[in-house]
Amino acid sequence: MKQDNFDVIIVGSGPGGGIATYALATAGLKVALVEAGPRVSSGVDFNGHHWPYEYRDRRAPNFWRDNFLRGHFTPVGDRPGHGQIRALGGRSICWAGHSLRFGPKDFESWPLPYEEVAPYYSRAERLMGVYGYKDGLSNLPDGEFLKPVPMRCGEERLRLGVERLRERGAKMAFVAQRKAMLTRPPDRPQWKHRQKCHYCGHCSGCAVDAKYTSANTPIPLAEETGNLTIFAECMATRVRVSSEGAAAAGIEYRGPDGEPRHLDAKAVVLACSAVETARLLLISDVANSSGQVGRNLTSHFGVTVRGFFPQVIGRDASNDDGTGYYHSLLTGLYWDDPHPDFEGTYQVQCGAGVTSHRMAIRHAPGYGSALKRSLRERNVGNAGMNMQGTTLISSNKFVDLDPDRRDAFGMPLPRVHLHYDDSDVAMAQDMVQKCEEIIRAGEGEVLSTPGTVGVEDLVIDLNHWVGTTRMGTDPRSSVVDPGGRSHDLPNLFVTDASVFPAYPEKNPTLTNIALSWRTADGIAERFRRNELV
Amino acid sequence: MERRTILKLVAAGVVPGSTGLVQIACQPEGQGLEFLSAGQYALLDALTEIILPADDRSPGASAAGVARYIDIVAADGTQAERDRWLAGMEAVDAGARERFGSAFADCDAGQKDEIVSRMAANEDHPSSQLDHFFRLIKRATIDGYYTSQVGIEFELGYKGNTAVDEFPGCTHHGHGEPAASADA
Repeated sequence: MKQDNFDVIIVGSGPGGGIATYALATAGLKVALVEAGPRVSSGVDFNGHHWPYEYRDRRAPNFWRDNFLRGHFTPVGDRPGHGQIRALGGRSICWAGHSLRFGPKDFESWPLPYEEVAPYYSRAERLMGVYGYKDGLSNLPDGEFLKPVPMRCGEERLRLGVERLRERGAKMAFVAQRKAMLTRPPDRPQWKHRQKCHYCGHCSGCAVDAKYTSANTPIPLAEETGNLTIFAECMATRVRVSSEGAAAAGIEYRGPDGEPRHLDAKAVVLACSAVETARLLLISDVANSSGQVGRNLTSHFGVTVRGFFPQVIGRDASNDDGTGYYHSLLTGLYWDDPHPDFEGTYQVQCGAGVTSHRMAIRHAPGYGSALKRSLRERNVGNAGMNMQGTTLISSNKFVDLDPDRRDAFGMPLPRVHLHYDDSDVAMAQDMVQKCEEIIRAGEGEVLSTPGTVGVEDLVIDLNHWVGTTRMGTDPRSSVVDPGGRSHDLPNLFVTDASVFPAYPEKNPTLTNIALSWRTADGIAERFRRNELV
Repeated sequence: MERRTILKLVAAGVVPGSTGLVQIACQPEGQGLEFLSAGQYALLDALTEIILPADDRSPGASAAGVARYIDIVAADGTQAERDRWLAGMEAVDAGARERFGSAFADCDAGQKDEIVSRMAANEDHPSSQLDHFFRLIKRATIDGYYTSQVGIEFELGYKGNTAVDEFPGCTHHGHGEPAASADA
């Protein structure tokens, strides 16, 4: 393999690595993109429109379920998970597309204000193609939206419930989801490798690239500049430092043949995920003078409450697919007035109706024709409410290296420590009560609920980890500066969501992309000023 | 049932065109089983049909091939899971002999329904082996039926999983806003 003189090495091709690749290659820099997984092709490696009965075990292929690395980390405590996809495009291939800007209040605990990131949100939305309604909410800013996708019947009942509670003074809002899917023909140059959405609901591996991924937008556009070399099936095993130890020199990696190799560059960008970036830094023993690498770990977690709305069972339920189950969002909770029993905020992703993948409701009492009827009605008339709250950042949640388990290359596997705090349980309990209230206000019945919440009811979002290389202005308490640059090594950068210093309830990917783009612009500017040589 | 849908299923070999009666046309009963004996297959076929029967809306579990689905998931499952199926089926037959003096397969329709009715009585608080077996077979019946073409297309009337130009969402006035009279 020819080893060029690269300006920048980027490790990881998910949402953060993909956009950094695009920004740096289009800025004229020679970029090496190192990805542990292979190239995959939409429509070949993942296809839509399967029926379960076409498969022996009734399990139609699902790119996420079939490909994420199991056992690649050691769980400690309250059932942590860690989703890692090794493929060019990373987890952007199977994300749900939810694209919510963090709001001005969310940035109050960041070392940079909303206004600083807002232009990058706009750029990101234009590149990705994000649909949505302009809702005018204070802390969920509107973006540059494509034509929105409406809610389904059961979701309209939830909205009605929320409106009625608002009339009684409740502070909350119920809006349609915003997602990175093309609801118009791909009539702009940045969308030339994509197609318009056809609402089949197979979004976890979109076969026609209607959904934005790193693999269908920034990476191919970067390749067309001639400045990008892709090292697929190459696993980074270490960040190398210069002989004086004052700067990053490049990386060591294992090629597709398993042989150890190395790459040199003037700058190194890590975007491997909050767990894997921390792991690589800990293995390399760099950029950790603060001792904060792997700390401040947080993700989203939640529980699910389901409602049933008899008012809508007579409707035509022949096709509820749309852009996946969640078409709506309960938001605006505790933005202005924090709850006394817990820190932080949550949102609730809501969906409704019949799906092709798996029935939402698989239980009703009894047997016989009555059972058939009630299962049909419950599925036609259901609405699901899936909480997404932020776990409290505490010493109970962190990533470190497993002293006993190693991967195929002899590298220590990461351990993910998750012990829920009382604040987390209190937040989930509040969510359950709120959701039950909303369902009843919409004249529905609560179909399933955890009721009284215990730690055993909580489900972690294994894709939303952030915080392990938190950004800040003080090198003693943070890993990177507000420009994503290591406090210790001036040419080492992090452009995944592990830099988030605080985490609102909103989905991380749009902010990850906006922030990565901002960091990449900063890197390009440093090259222009000859600061990276 | 729409004529168009019936024709589609006739073409797929699921529905014999002459009578409209639905059967599994692709595989003769009890042939090619991986785990169940022919007798066990017949037992599960009858039990699952009682749990999700044919009615005037759609065919039931038997036409949907649920017993064959159970044969496959049990064959692919663990030994412990297979043992639960075997023990459960034996318990159903033992119960039938005790109550009606014959194996389940030889009971008449009323007797079969009575057996299932007793199995289902403690669904929410199972204690006996038969209580637990009812939950096992009911869950498998629901999973198998609603992942079958019969369950998805006929019973649920689902026509998605396809390309459409636009997604209309809820178009029913009254779902999101109550009718004026209902609000009074």
